[in-house]
Amino acid sequence: MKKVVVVLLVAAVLGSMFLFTGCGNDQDVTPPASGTTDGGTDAGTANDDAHLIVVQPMMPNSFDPSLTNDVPSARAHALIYQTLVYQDHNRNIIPGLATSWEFLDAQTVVFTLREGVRFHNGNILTADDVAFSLNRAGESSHIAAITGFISEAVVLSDHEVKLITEEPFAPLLNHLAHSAASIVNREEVERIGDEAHGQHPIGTGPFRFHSFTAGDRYELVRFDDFNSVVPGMAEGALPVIEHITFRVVPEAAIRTIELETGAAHILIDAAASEVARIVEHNDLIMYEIPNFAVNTWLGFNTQRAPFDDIRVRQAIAYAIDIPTIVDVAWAGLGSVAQGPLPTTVRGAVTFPPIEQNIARARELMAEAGLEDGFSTDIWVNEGNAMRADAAVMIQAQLRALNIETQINIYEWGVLLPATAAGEHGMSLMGWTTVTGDPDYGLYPVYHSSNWGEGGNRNFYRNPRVDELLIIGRTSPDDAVRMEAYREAQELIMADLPLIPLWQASELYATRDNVGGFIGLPTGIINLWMVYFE
Amino acid sequence: MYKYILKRLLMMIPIIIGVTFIIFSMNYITPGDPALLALGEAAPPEAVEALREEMGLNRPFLVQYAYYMINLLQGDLGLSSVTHRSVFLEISDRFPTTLALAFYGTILSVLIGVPLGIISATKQYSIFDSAATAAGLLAVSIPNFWLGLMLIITFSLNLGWLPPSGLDHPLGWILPIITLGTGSAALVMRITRSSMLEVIRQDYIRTARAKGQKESIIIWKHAFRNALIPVVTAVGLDFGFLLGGAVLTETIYALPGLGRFMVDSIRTRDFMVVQGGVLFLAIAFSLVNLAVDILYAYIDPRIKSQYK
Amino acid sequence: MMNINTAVENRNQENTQKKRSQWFEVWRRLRKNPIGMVGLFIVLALILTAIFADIISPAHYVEYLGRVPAYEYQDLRNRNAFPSAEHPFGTDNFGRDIFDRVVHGSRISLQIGFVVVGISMIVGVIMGTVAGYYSKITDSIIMRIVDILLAIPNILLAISIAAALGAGLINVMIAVGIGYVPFFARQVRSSVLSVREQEFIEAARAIGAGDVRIMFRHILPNCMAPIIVRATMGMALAILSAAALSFIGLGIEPPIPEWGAMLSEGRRFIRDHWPSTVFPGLAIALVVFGLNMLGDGLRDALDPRLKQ
Repeated sequence: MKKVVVVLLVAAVLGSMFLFTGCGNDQDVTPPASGTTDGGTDAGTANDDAHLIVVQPMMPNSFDPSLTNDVPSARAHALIYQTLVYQDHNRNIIPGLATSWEFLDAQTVVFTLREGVRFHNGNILTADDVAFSLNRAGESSHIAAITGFISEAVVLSDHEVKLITEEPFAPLLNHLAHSAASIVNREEVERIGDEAHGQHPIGTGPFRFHSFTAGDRYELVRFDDFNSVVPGMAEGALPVIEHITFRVVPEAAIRTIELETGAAHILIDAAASEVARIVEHNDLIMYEIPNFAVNTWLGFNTQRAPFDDIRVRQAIAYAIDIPTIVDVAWAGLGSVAQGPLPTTVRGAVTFPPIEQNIARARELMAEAGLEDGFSTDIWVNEGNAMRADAAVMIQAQLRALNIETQINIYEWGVLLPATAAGEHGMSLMGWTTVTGDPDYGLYPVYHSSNWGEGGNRNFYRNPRVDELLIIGRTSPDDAVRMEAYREAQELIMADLPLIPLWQASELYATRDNVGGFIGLPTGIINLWMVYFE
Repeated sequence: MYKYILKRLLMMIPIIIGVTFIIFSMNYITPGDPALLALGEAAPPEAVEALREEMGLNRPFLVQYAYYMINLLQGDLGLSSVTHRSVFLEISDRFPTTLALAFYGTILSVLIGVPLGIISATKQYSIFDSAATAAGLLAVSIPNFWLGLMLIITFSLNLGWLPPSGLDHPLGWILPIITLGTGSAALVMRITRSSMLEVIRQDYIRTARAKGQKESIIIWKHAFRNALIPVVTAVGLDFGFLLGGAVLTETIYALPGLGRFMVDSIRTRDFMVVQGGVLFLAIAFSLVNLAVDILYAYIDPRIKSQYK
Repeated sequence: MMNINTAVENRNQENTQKKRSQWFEVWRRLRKNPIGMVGLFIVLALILTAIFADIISPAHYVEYLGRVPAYEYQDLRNRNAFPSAEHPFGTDNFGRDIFDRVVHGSRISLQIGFVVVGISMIVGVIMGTVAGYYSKITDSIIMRIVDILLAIPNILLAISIAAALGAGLINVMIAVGIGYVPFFARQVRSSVLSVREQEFIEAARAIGAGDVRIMFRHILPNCMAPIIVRATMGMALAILSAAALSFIGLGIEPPIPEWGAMLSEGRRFIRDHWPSTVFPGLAIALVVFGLNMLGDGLRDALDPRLKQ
């Protein structure tokens, strides 16, 4: 009898651990909301011809557009939600949930909405939802860089919304095309709360959220009652794909293996080291899409000697062999950056490459009184092997100027605040102009009001540049804007607060039976266009 | 016996509190601002400040700790600063994977380690013994993340027998369990061997032999059951270690387990998750220890009598 | 007539002499243990490699750059090369000779082993001695701290500390070192507890020897055996843990040729260029294996119960 009791005790003690495991780990399924058409199609019964499997390195943080600003989440948002407007391949603004818009003045614009658009829970989109979404986005800290310009959105009628901004904001429409400005259903968000909405999102997009498994995957299914319009699809059409599974596979080499074995159809973020293999493989197609990023530059902390001396910065620019660095570190992918803005952004000016000239570099150092060199550091974020490679090469090449560089590889958690505080000498960082508009590419990085956290980690200040960037940001005249940006870029390249190194490409790969694949420079994929051949 | 268990459970409490305090302190002094990190490279200062306020990061250390403990006592582990999801859900979603891995890994280690250990002991100083010892030491010496990579290359890539990652397919469990269980198997073998050796030298074994009993019965009926005690302890403790130590295996095989999640959360400064996760693992580990001790006390009659 | 002071001193001298011949005994027994000797051989090879690294893999002289250490020299036209006469282990992604890097990495590994074990041993031994020697309360407090440290999974503790302290070789060593303190502390404490009651300790106390003197001059020397074994195996674990941390990406800044970091860098090329991952991995396995074998041999040699 005692034996039994003891065994039970042990079992109880151990079993109490299992209490925490809950009822299995899967299926945070979106519960049917009030008045829905279709609550929970079992995703598993979708036929295989219409089931797409995507592998990517990271899981989205949240499915609510106001709670996070990471790219994997944006990818999901772009499928689940819609924005008022979209950008097409040529960076033109085209209608989305708004069919037309009119600027009443530099700070006010009225949008006319598409009628009868259905949400995934059966509700119909009204101006109330739009105003709610925009106001909410405007207040969110997480996406402040994108939607902070919103002052107030006001309902004018059932299908008209007036948007008011604090100051004239020229790139307004580009920002509204970003998934951060996605339109949510007010009733749903208010019913279940922000955080819950992050796990049970309701949107108007062509795909509906089905479920997710923490850290592992999430599933979307086609919204069969979709009646809105997305770029590339005819009105009234539905996606061919009925079910998408996004799987998270952190190791790059293993992602490729999944694609090779056919366990996945689309691969996102192929590592540079994998590209050659994918290109050679018979069943796989490689897509290299120049994106909106000057992904890496060699930045100087211009507040810290000797980097406050332009001659030192120029000397370093002459000392390093940029094409070789790009070729080795990024395996020949992307391209050597040609200026502060990537060539894909409107109004980008291209500059002639800085040719390596060690003799000239040494002259400059001597002029600056530093022919004996100095010690400094270069900060790189952990987890980016390519930047680390570049740092190692730069370190070696700077020896020619007697510059001893210590490489500090830190995780983001340390790197971001430290570079914001100016603890670095040099850094390898970059910037993605997510909106495709030069304001976002230049203002946060080069305007002196953004020193530190705002994005200007080079602590660059040029009063004329500041002026020009404000003109670009607020002027309603496009020609005036572009001229301002042209001059700004020239001044920046003359001042050289950073040396642009690499313009990135988005690297996708698919199996050769995947058709209709269109990747955008933003890193978003319009999966509604995809079909199996 | 029940008094002993109660006493142990009570003693767990100050330890667990100590764990929360240490982790909280480490989180506090860890450089890096969770708010800034959440916003990334484009972080308008007002937004950072607003988020900091939201997250309660501006309050003094003890105040933050007090709030945390009060919530904890009500069963509220807080929200993840990255996903805004309940920490409890994030953990309970991933714990079963880690638990299963540790469990199967332990089973593998017992299946391999115990028989090898017994044979080693019965054939002490033989070639088999030396070879097994050497193999065992080699098994704990190979870095298990390296072993994992090598296994993937061989069995997934070159031979195509097994899937390289993920747990979709039942076969996907095989490589991670082998990677995880190898080191433990070696440990179990070691302990079994030395424990058997201890027992075999005892007088009552010699008596049984003198009485003419069959060798195999001696080994099984007498030696093995008594040698079991330290082995059970070691296996139990090892299970506890595996719960927390599967980090590398989970990373390489892309398994959505708790260990890997902890590492990611430390990186993203998701402090609520780190707190909750370590707390969780500490409790689990302590419970396993307690279970092992109870079992140990039960099996070993000498100790059992102490607690009558 | 001998006074008590001298008696105790004489007894100590006898002990010391006995110890000297004891050590010789230990050496004799170790010599007979093939596993231990192989381990010793490997460890000696490691030490020699580390000492003579600059001779085995000398620096290069390059135009414009001056003297470049062998493990940094990049031959960018010869990247990811396979083993050849010129590069016995091939080259890595920067054209750096892997053999040179592995050789110089031995220094780092040795450093890591010694420093980590040094830290944890000193702290752990002090804690364990004090806990074992003094009253219940001190003992309780110290052991609770040890329990708290033990309850937190080792890897997570190391990662948390490394995150809190920041990256870098030294911080990694501290982070790993703190995690091993409990093992030394517990070991020493139980040894101290058993030695504490012996007569010569009472005698020393009777003549008024101070506590500290008693603890460190009389008690501790008698507990050295298990400490040595643990230290050896601890070095092995330390190297593995540091490699694991580097593999995850915490801490050793390039271009330091730490073996775990080399594994992490080579991971991307694992399908096309096996030398990048195989050789550093082998180095880790070999060294850790050697240390474990040595530790195992020492354990057998120091075990008073084994027959001669």
